[in-house]
Amino acid sequence: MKNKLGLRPGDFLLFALILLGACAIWIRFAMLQTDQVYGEIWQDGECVQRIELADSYRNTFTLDGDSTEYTIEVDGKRMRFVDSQCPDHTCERTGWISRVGDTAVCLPNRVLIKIVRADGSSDGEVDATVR
Amino acid sequence: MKRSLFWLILAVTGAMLLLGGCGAKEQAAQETASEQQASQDFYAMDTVMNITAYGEKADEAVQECVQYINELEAAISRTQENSEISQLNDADGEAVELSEQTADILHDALEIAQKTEGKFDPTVASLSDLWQIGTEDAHLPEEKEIQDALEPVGYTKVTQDGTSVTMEPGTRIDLGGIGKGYAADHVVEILESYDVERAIISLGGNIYAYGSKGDGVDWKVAITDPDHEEDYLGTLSVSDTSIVTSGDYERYFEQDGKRYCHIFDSSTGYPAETDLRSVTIVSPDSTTADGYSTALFVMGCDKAIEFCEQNDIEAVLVRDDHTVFVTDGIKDRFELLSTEYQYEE
Amino acid sequence: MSKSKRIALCGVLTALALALSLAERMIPLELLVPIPGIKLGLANVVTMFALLFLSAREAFGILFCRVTLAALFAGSITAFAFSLLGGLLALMTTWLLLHRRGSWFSLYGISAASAAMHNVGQVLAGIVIMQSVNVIAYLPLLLVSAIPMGFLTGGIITVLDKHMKHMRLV
Repeated sequence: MKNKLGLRPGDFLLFALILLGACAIWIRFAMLQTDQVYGEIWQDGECVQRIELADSYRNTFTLDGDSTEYTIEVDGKRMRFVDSQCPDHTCERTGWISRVGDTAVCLPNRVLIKIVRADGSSDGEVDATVR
Repeated sequence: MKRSLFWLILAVTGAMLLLGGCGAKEQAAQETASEQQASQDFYAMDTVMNITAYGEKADEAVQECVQYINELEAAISRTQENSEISQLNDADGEAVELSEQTADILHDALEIAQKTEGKFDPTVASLSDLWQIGTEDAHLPEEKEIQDALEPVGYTKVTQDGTSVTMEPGTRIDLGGIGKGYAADHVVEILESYDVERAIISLGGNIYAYGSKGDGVDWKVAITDPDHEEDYLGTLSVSDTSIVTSGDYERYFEQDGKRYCHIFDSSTGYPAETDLRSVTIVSPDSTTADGYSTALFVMGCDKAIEFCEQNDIEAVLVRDDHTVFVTDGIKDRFELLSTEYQYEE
Repeated sequence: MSKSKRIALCGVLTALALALSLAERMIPLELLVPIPGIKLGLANVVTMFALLFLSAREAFGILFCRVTLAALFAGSITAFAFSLLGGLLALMTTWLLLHRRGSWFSLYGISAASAAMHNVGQVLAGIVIMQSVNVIAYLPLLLVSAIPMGFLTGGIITVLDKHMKHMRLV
């Protein structure tokens, strides 16, 4: 095969370089494009907490809101409002949010939690949800 | 050799420039590539809103939309003391002069009330004040209280002549039922004036899918599962239209195992007794969609279907027996995702 | 070779390159790699031929005419940028490596490197035009495809090279 085609040693170096370049770029981008998702807690239009969501991760965050304290539970790749002290409890009823683009809101405290991608984008399977 | 090559290149370049028009289409595509995305979450009209717009002036456009909604709220809010609507509600039978915009919303509201024979009624304010649904004081009132609160309810008690409005003493207006829809329609106008190409406007669940997501691809808008608010009942693929849902799961309280939702039936004084869990209206006119979604919810399934047929309304109706009815016009745009629901035969 | 013969040959090669670049538009590569205007680079065979049997200057002239004419036919500035940047990088790579042809490299390796650089050039143009660095994510796939492309064009050129010696065309 080698002789028939008349390949030279430098050819293999070139092929290797091309493949190496391909691998390097692929690994670099495969890293970036993992479906790593983040949970964000927004208060009054400002992101006050950004949580890297992973399967084994469990935590609760208790923060001061506009009118009361509020607590957010993170369980793996999902999060929700718990033990809310606000009057309407709508935030608790929203339940767990887990998909990119999902949001839950506590209106009295002006808190919004959402699930986003690494680059902050939130284009999930749907563009919006009517409630 | 050298010279002939030079002339050839020169000639071809010249031809390129002359025929530059051919590339015009391509330049438009390049402009799309340089478009900006602007997205903002904000609180207004007792809910959280988001506007995400794409276009060269998206940032300015979104800022103006937010400002517009805040101004609109200041005019039509029932809780802000100096708003036009508060002044109207306190007028005690006197004629009140409204701004053109507020008069316009009120006109729309009364028109929808008339069309739906009061199933949507902007004068139920006294009922929501009595029941307090959505607050911690929500309770089941006494029958007598309900009848008293029902007394000033009725859209026919409002007389509008242009911007001049007179109401019977005691009657109070609440434009919350169509305020977000009206806001959505006007946000779209603002976005148009800024040459925004596409946007998702989400005003507390009132969605306006403006433009298309890109090259003929529709926006995908999910409808909430009334039983599990974190789940999707299904999705609608749409462009250039608004989608508005009214459901019993938004704000409610339960007493003695019975659920009382925040949508009132102006004929009984009680929260709507209906076989529907939610009504989703798909229409390019968000104001009427907002009003109709409430009215159809109050009507109940059979009457709602009839109303849709008579008025060419596209809707998704979710019944309490876990069946879903979709009008013919949007059947191929709706995708049922929840396995707990079936299509109505 | 006479001057007029060379010019005629340049014209024929330009026409051939143009035909190839129009032909490869039929291959729906964009389905696999969603960068508008992406090409396999079949026309690079002509560039290589010109470099081998004519001169670097003439190879460049042919490349430029081909790219310009193809863009005119397609009516697309984007395609022009893609092809020009890809074509230029491929040309320079081939020209450099040809200096060591026979000793270090064979035509196969040179073609593969040239195809790879052609794709790098296209992706660079893609980054500028689409204003997104994420376009690079498609480069690995394109780079790997450069090796079979290299064998294809390398094979064609090797056969041509063998026969050209007997034909005395050049």
